Amino acid sequence: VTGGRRLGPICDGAGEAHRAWLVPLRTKFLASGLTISELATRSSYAKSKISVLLRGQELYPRWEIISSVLRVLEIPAGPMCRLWIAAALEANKKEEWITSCIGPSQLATLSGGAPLDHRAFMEARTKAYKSYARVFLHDQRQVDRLFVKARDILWLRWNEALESPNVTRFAWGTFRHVVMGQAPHRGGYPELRPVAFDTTALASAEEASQFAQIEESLTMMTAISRLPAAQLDVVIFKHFRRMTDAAIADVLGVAEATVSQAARYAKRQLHQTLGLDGGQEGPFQWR
Amino acid sequence: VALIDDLLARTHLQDDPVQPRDVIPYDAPGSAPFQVEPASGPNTATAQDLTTLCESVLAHTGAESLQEEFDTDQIPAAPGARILGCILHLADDTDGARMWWQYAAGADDNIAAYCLYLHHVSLGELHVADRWRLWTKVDTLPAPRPLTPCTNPPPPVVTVDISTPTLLRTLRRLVEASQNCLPSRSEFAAAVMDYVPNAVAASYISHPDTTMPVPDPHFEDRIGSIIAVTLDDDEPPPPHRPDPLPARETCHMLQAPTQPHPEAL
Repeated sequence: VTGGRRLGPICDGAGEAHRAWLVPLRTKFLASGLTISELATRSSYAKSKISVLLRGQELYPRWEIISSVLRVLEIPAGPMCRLWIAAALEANKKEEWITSCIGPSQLATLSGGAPLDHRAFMEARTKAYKSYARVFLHDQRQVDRLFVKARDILWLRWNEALESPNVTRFAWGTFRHVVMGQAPHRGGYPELRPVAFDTTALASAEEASQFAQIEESLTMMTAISRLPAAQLDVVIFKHFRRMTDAAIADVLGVAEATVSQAARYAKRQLHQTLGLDGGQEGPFQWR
Repeated sequence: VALIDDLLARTHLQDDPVQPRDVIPYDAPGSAPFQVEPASGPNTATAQDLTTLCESVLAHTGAESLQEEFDTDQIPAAPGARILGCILHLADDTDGARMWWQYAAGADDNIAAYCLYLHHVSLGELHVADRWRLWTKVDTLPAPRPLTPCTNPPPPVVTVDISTPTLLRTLRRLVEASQNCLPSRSEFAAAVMDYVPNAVAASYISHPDTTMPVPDPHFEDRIGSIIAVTLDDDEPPPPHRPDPLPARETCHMLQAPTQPHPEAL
């Protein structure tokens, strides 16, 4: 590293959508080997402005400065622009402000297509990804928006994904991160109880047993939400969505054996948490 | 077990549940995103401890011992399986690593069981980790012990913590501190790291109870030639020097455990 100050961390005020484009931008910048001054000179902005941009400080940045930086770092502007717009809305920017930054003519050129392999990859996984997100988010429109955002983030990081040892696993990790960022949490665990009302068991239950079914499902959902990430994902796909181990392995980018093992561990842990073996932990209590 | 199967079967969700529309949209512009605060998320320090341990295992695996361990048809003995697990872990193939460690631990390899313990703690899977903690004979908790150095006059009793977790943590700190001058892997270790992960990840054997990745059919020959090539190029190994340290008390890691395998519980 030649001279120049080190890049400071992202400031706390930057929102989740803001970070969605800022983190890959910083990664590209660090990988380029440029110093902040060099980046400033090449993009014709003041060093202080670039530093503020890269740390996500102060006001939400205008598109002009970002597009200059993207040119220097050779980052595709399309996905970045879409993420920038999403984050601008999150930062309470008016639509007029956004269009004044970009301009309608430029907006058309920016929304060009993602690479063919990325599109094909995402298309093959759309159904499974959305069915996962739907477990945590109860509004289909919200799921659709989240999927578009995750797809853009992955598009932005597509080269990184291709260079990783396992593209499928990289993509799943990215998607999962976006879902968990948006999913309501309770006590540090994702909230699963609302789907207790969406089970097929409840839909087909007779009126007299509906209440008992809801109670059982609430207890199950609470216990399942506390499983470690890998087991939680497998339970959601295997039991909530009744996918085969092979199909799950394909979505998560792991071996089929790993899926069946995670399912076994999950079952064992639930068995214990729910106190089914009359173990020391006793019947599971839900709050 | 049948009960839990029934319970899980009844968690199946409708594809298109009928839901009343919410009065307030979930993520209207300006609404703050939910904050994720993992309760028992991945544990990075433990993950680093595991990597440190694997690097140590690889660094202390001599060419001769490796040849001995892999001198079988396709499935190595427990120590070989443990080494394979460490190699796969360093190559980022966590699933392959876990399966080989399980195989080794099933054959009473305590270090492999300890690796599994660290592996599951690092993933936040504390429940599974706990089973391996009970299984391994390696100490998993820091334990200060009184130490009396042989000086005259004898100093007051000093307590020193030489438990495995503490040693690993110390080793990790040393590696972190010297990150810029990290000793590179030996040529042999580098060649093995280069070849093994791909050779092992290619195929799986499946038994009713277990599935694990197996080395490709020419694995033993290839390891043999890597050993031959790197040993030819390397300096001859230094002659064995007598260990300047006094003999340790019997290493309890090497005693065979008598408990049943956790998978069998």
